[in-house]
Amino acid sequence: MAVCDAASFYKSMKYFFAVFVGLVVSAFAVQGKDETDLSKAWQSMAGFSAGKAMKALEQLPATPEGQLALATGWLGIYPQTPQNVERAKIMLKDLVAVDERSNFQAAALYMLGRISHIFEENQEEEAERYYHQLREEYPENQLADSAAVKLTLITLGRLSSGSPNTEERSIIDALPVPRNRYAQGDFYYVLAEYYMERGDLSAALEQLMAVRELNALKGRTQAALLVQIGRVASLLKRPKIAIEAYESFQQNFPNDDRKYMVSEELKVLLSGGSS
Amino acid sequence: MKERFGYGLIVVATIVAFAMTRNNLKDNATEPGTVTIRVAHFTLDPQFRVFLTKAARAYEKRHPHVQIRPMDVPRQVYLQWQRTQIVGEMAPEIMQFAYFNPGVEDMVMHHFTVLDPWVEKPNPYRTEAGADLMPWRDTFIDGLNSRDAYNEKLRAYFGIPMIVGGYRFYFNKSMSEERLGGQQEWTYREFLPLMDMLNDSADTSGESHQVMPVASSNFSSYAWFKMLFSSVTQSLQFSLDRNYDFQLSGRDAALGFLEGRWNYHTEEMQAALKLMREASFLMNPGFSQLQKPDGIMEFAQQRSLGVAGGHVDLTYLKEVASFEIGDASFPVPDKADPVYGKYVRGPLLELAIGSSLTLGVMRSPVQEQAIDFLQFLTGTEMMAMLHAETGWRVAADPEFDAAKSKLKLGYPTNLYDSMNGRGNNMTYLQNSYRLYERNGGVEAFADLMDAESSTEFVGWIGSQTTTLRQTLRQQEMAIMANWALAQARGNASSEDSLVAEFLQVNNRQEAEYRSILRFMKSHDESL
Repeated sequence: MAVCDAASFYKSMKYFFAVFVGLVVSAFAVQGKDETDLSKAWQSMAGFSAGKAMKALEQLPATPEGQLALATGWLGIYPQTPQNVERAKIMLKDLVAVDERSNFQAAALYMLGRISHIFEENQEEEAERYYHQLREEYPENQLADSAAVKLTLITLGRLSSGSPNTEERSIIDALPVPRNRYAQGDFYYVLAEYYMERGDLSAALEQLMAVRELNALKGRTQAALLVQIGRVASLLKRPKIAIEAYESFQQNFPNDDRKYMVSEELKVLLSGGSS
Repeated sequence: MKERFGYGLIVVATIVAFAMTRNNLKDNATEPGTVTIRVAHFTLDPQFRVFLTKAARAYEKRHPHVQIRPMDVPRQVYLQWQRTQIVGEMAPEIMQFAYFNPGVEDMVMHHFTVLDPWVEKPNPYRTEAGADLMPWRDTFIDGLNSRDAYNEKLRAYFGIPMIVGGYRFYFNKSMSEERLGGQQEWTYREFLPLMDMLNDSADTSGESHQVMPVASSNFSSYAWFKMLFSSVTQSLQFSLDRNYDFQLSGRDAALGFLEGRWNYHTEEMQAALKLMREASFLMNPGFSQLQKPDGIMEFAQQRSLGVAGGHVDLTYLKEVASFEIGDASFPVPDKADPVYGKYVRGPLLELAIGSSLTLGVMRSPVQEQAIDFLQFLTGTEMMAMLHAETGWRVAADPEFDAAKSKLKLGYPTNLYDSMNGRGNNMTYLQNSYRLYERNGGVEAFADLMDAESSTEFVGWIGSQTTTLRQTLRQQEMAIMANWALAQARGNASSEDSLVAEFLQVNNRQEAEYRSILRFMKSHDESL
């Protein structure tokens, strides 16, 4: 019978401890590497390099985020094929099916909505279901706010052509307004464009003013918004609003190509006329 | 003797070949650790090539481990060559691109580096006061807003422009002094009698006019027609502007035509066509079949008073012409014109700020160095050198003030392209000769255009919706990636601004896409 003396026990423990520490460190190292690889993959996808991202993702263990990244990569591979879209859809459905709630599950619902809405043909009802589920289960998520804008687009697409009637107006009024100001801006802007398309300039101006109040735009979109407010208000014979919007445009966008046209409009308005 | 001479010749040829090979090898060999950045472009103007070579040497001096190799490729073969290089995975690190070439947008998106992280930071090669705090993007006159530099669909920067554009009417100053009393600006009405004034009325040789008011070429006539057309169709800028932002696109024009808001018999269109036909008699017959160099030669040989061109053409014109060249606004009708004045609302925009000569960086392990070279090129010193070498207006100049420029502000000049050069371009090209030919005229041309444009517009709108849908799909990956990166940064709030900007572009473009679908559906139903 082998006798284990204190010294050899201590020596064994030292090895065991060293191996244990090594394992823990390597586990962290592996985890760190995975996180780095995943982050690199997302960065590649943010730069439209799906192929590069997929190479990094292939080696990673299946986590909810990894699964989401892989599905996103399949959707981003160029040229897009129905097979790749189907692969992505299966992965995202698996992610949605698990009981554990996470932000990645919210993102998967959004992506499923987008697949049905823009990648596939005639699947608007399915898209609508995913968007609604996302909004109900993850109301605080930024993507749920964007889903509200997408639901608005689906609803507007179902309305008749021509100026909206009373029933249609009540449908529009009942549309859910997103929570964050950026998505709210998109929401009001989509409605403004819809009213402009239908020739209801009064309703359009109301929506354009709502976008401006949110102060969520910058650069060229802000310049275009100011011109739109000025022009629509001018046509509606509401010079005060038009002048204020045009003056703000002149002040903030001195190098814009539209400067001359706006200044001509402004001259007419300031002299008491209308364009 | 002959045999000996032959052997000698072979020996000499072999030695020369060896010497040339050695020199070539020496020139192209790099020290270990040297980074080589190749810059491919199709801007073959000698002055630009000299500039690029000088800039390359200056950069190499600052960065001894880097070698810059400019590659000049003729425009005619550039696109094909560029594709081959990319597919063969041997593409240069920096390449010029322009979206007016078909399919380039897609190629850029899939192979070029997104420059967003760099354009938001200062350019270390700018030396103006406060430049160390100014983002690289803001040093550009147009804020990097040109279509080539910034891809609006993907909300990403892919290109860095070198110059800003714009057209001018260049004229022979000496000829003007000799025969026109030194006049340097003309309205359209003043320009019309120039055919007689330029040519000696006492000449009874029976030959046709020797000196034409405007040089004959497709390019020169395009630039002038664009201005003439836009000078009398300004009110359409308002009536066709579907979303009231004063920006008329080809899509606005196409949808407007299909819903009957305009056609080639609309009053302003008729005025524009009449104007173009009249103006065509101030060039040699067959002008639209002649190439740009033909027009330049005609001008250089003093067979025409003037030639229309981009501001970048002036450098070349100065080289080939033996006389002093003046530049003027285009001779277009003004409000006082007895025939066309009632259609004119104001001057035309000459200060077209849109920039060009755009360079992009291929995705590669040395992309950071390549981007650094682009920062160097658009730095204070190199932009000054580009202007000095070429005389061109440079793209990066933080102190630029539109109000101080001698070029006019006014109504946009893009209507000609929006109404004839986008959705019905083939119909226009196939029929435009009817507008100018002896037996043709405005009516014959307008009848054909009205009859044939609809089909092409419908097909074009169809392809536009396909492209928009494809773009929306491509955006999804970037949206999700930016959302995930925001999560990783710990920004789990529902208001990450970068993600919001991506979603904003996506939502707006999807609204436009759905709006066009609705339009086409009701258009089809109405037929």
